[in-house]
Amino acid sequence: MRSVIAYMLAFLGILSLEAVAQHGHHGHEKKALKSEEIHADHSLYHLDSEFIDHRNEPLKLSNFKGEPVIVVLFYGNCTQVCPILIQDTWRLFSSLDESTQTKTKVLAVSFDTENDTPETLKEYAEYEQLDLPEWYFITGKHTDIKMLATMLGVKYQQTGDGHFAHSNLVTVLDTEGKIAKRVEGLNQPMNEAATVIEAMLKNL
Amino acid sequence: MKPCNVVFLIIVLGISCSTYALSTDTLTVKVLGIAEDARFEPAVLQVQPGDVIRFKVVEGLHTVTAYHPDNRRPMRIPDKTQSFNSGMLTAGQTWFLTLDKIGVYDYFCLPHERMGHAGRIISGSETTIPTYDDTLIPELVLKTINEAQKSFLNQNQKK
Repeated sequence: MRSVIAYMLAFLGILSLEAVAQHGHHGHEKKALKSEEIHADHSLYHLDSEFIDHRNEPLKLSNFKGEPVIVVLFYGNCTQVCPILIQDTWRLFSSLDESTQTKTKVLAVSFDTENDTPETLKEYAEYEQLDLPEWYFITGKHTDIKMLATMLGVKYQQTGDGHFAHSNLVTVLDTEGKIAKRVEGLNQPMNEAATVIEAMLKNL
Repeated sequence: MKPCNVVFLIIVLGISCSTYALSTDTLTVKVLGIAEDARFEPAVLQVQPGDVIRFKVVEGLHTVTAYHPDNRRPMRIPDKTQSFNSGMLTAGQTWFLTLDKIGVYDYFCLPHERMGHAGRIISGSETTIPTYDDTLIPELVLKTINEAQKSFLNQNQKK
């Protein structure tokens, strides 16, 4: 009887080790954090903080008043979803006709304030072939980025291995800095967001 | 036309259609690895135009993305060929690609390109590689593709 119990315990032990191994194996895949509710009536341009772009130029969000703006939060060292999120943002931007593109701005804001310096972001922009006049890769003080993320409903948190878990969200701001459209998730269709931008410019 | 001729024609058409269907093949590229070890296996695959290529993601999170200006990369697929991009694929997912035009198609994985996660499909029997633009292509990608191409040619010579 004792040997039967010992075998059973050993079997259960192996099962639990297997479960740990599987958990560890999949642990590198950061689960996306679902975005939070936002107040669509609040303008992001009330955020008076100063940020800095990949051209080493200081800027405030209110600089973009009067133009449709696409905002995406990401971090440069991401080897999982951020390159796809940036590609999704590019899909939206490139789906606009040329004249609309020139009147639209894209803010790619990094929440890795420690590693993503303006120089690093410049390299990133060049590597991704997105060092375009309409694109701004932005960093800033941690508290300011956190505030901006909160206003956008984007959640992010460090995972302790130099990476972040975060929401996957592309946001369109209207000419007053209010949230006009949110596209959550990766590989989403961007036609509705493009229509929102086009309609915005028609009404100007 | 006599009814027997119509029947004959239908049979002939049926045979040619089924022969055509049988002439295409489905080949698999496994997508493996999670970071520095991310890789396509085989990294160089030869197919015939019309063959179906099945990308099967075994682990990790990847994309199958053409070197094409639509994806903000230099053109490394045949001229006037449509770009492709699988979007995000996770473990267990499969994505299919069919290339109808003869030529050499280089592709990469968006999250792991800097780590050399790239591959090549040769559509058709020709194994001569065109001179593609190497600017802005990460060194590790060129290394992966060049080494896989060499090994592919060596294996072909042995056959």
